[in-house]
Amino acid sequence: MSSRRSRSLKVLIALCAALMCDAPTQAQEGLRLRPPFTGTYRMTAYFDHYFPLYGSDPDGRVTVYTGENVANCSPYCYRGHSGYDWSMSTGTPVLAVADGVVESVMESSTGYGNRVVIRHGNGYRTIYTHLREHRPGQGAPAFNVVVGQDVREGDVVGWSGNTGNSSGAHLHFGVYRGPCLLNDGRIYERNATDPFGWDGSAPDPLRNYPSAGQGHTASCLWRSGAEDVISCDDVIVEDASAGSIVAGRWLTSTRGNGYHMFYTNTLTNGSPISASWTTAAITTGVYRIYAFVPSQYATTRQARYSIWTANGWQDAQLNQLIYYDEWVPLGDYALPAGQGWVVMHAGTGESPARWIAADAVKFRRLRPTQPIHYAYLPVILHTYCPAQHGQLLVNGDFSTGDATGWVTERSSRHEAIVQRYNETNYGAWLGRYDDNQDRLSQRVSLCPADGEAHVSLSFWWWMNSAESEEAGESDYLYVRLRSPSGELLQTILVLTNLSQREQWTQAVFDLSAYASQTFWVSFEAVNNAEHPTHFWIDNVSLTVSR
Amino acid sequence: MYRLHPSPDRRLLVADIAYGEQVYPLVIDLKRSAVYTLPGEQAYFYVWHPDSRRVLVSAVEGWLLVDVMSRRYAPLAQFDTTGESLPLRALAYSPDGQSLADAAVYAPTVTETTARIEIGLWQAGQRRPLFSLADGSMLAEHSLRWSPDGQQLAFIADVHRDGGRQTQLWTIDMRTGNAEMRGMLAQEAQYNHPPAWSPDGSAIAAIAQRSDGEASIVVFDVRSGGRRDILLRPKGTPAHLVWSTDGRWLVFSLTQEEFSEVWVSSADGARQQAIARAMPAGAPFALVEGHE
Repeated sequence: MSSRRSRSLKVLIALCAALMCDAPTQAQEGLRLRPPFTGTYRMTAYFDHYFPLYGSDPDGRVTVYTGENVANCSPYCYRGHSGYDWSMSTGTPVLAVADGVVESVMESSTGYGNRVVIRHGNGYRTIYTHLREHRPGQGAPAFNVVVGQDVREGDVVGWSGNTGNSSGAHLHFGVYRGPCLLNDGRIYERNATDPFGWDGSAPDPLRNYPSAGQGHTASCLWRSGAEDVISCDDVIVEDASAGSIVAGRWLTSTRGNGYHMFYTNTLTNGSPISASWTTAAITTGVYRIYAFVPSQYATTRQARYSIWTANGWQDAQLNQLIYYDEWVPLGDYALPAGQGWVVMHAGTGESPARWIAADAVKFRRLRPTQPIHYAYLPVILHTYCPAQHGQLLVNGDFSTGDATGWVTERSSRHEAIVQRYNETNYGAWLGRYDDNQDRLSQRVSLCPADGEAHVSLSFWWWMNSAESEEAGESDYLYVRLRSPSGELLQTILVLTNLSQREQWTQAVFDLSAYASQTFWVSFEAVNNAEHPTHFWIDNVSLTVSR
Repeated sequence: MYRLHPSPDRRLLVADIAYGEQVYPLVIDLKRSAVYTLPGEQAYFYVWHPDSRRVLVSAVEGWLLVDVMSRRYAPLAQFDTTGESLPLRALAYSPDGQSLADAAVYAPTVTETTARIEIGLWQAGQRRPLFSLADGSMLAEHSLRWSPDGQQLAFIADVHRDGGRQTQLWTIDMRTGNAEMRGMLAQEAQYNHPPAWSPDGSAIAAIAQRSDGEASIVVFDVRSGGRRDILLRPKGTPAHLVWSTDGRWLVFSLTQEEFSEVWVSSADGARQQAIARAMPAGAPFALVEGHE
């Protein structure tokens, strides 16, 4: 096998003096947080400002940082919650939100499960919980840090999972203004705070937690960089919140951001069915507007949005089918003060009918461009990476009879994904249950030495479904490429319950464009709640040739 | 609700109520059909005192011994400042109430790079380390259990060694301090079931996860060291394992699909039958009056 040194790289280092950067005015007390992950994920639970102590929350309602107070729990689930939850696949890297020292690393099958506590400056602590089961010997540790270790912002502290009192893989992230460990290692909730701060018109209820006058008013702590998916510059309007109105017949699901979403059939053009999001928390300026596209019930290729701007209505169109629990930008718009308003029309004219999702909308204020001064430092990086040939996937034919080499995830039930489908052959059985999501993925590392190579992905698929063909597309198998941190790079194939039934079919794709990259090959099934669809995958190969 | 803890005299029951990431203990008086809460901010139940009147809880206020009827509580008398600072994950009173065993779990640090579990014994306000399990990283919840005669202590721990993760059942002879690894219960799985001593102390039963993914119940003969695997028919996920008060039966929940049933098995595994059907999956139960 030949080898060669990688090409030299010039690294651009942008030096931005702190005074020249527009520091978020809300971030106080010296702590600024980056998001605890890269990419975008579905937030499934907000912080409750009124007594964030779980079952001890006396009002049984949820009060979020905008000041809105709703009955438990949609669209902000759930009462007494002392942090933020994001749904994410097991094994997603979880990142330190700021520099600090690891104060505690604990394995547990209850409560917060496996978790890390980091002590930052000014007494703040952050917690990262429900990390995956700790199996370092199997190449799947929960933790990437030890007690006493210094960490920098963005360092991987562990990998997400579903340990403890958790009903699905997610990250629970919490911020505390002071100590947060009890003598038995459990988390002490009295010092919990909301990193989104408090934007309500009334005083922050946290001021009276744990008792009258003994609490504090939360400050927004996100560093709010332009590239950050979470920002103090965001105004989020959840569907089913006070700023959301839907007209016509919509169905609801918990698969949306905030544990709630609306969805309906796309019907025909001119349908009176619509959804709108409004907020008065807008100042005159340019905003980037995002729609959250959930992984389910978002199959329209032609979602139409109308945005009210300083120049009247402007339109945007979105292919919801290709997004999977992601914030998707609709464009940048100059908005008039106090008038954030987005309308989505359900009638797209698509035939057969598809699902259109109305989930959260986000208004992000764009800051005026600041002059940036660059310094170019020539740096020669020497890395060794052997060129590769042949099949790179491990156990692509599942001949081991299990998922060796693959990462699997199943939202409901726990039967193995790899099963025998006839007397001699094993394959990956995805979908399979009502209301189920499966993921089967394997990481592939190609390096610059492979940059000129031909890379090909091939696999065989088979599908059968209990869904009637008249019901339209409702169950899906997405074949995707994802970055090492889980961000979607490309959806290369979408199979549905309307695809060819009961016939093994080969699919081949040219992935030469990814020849020098590391990425995940991911098969992701999403079944709705009606009837199961069964997708089988076998003989998956990713080959490199020259 | 996910776990029940009957008092030694089986008149009271602590029910762990789970909400979000927190667990709240409620005390149920089975004779009076009354329910009490426990004092202490974020109180978490650890163990009954042998007097069946008091419980040991961890709370923001510290380790507390709480009288469940009067709700009066006091810091745990055995602990000095050393006890409060230990990374304790389990505590258990000896049957005579004179001794308190604990388990401290030390996570890896920048200076001590491997985990360990240390079992200690408190007597007259002093703690004496009994046994240190190298590479021990997690203790199954409520798994520190004294034998009925107070001569031995059992616990279940996860050990990371030789590139793998094993869940192991250990016993410590409290007279000699000798520790013995009785058997492996699971591999590469985060395990959370306590062991169950037979009423006469001759055997320990525990739930095991076999390498083929099926679960079974194993019974360890304490004297001979023998191990008997009881295969479950039908297959399912067992939990909440207890012995009948006469020691003839093992009682457990068995979950299949969305429902759990209460099953009994003779101690040799020969006879198995369901005695209560169709609880929601994961519903706990406790044997409070025994089963014949």
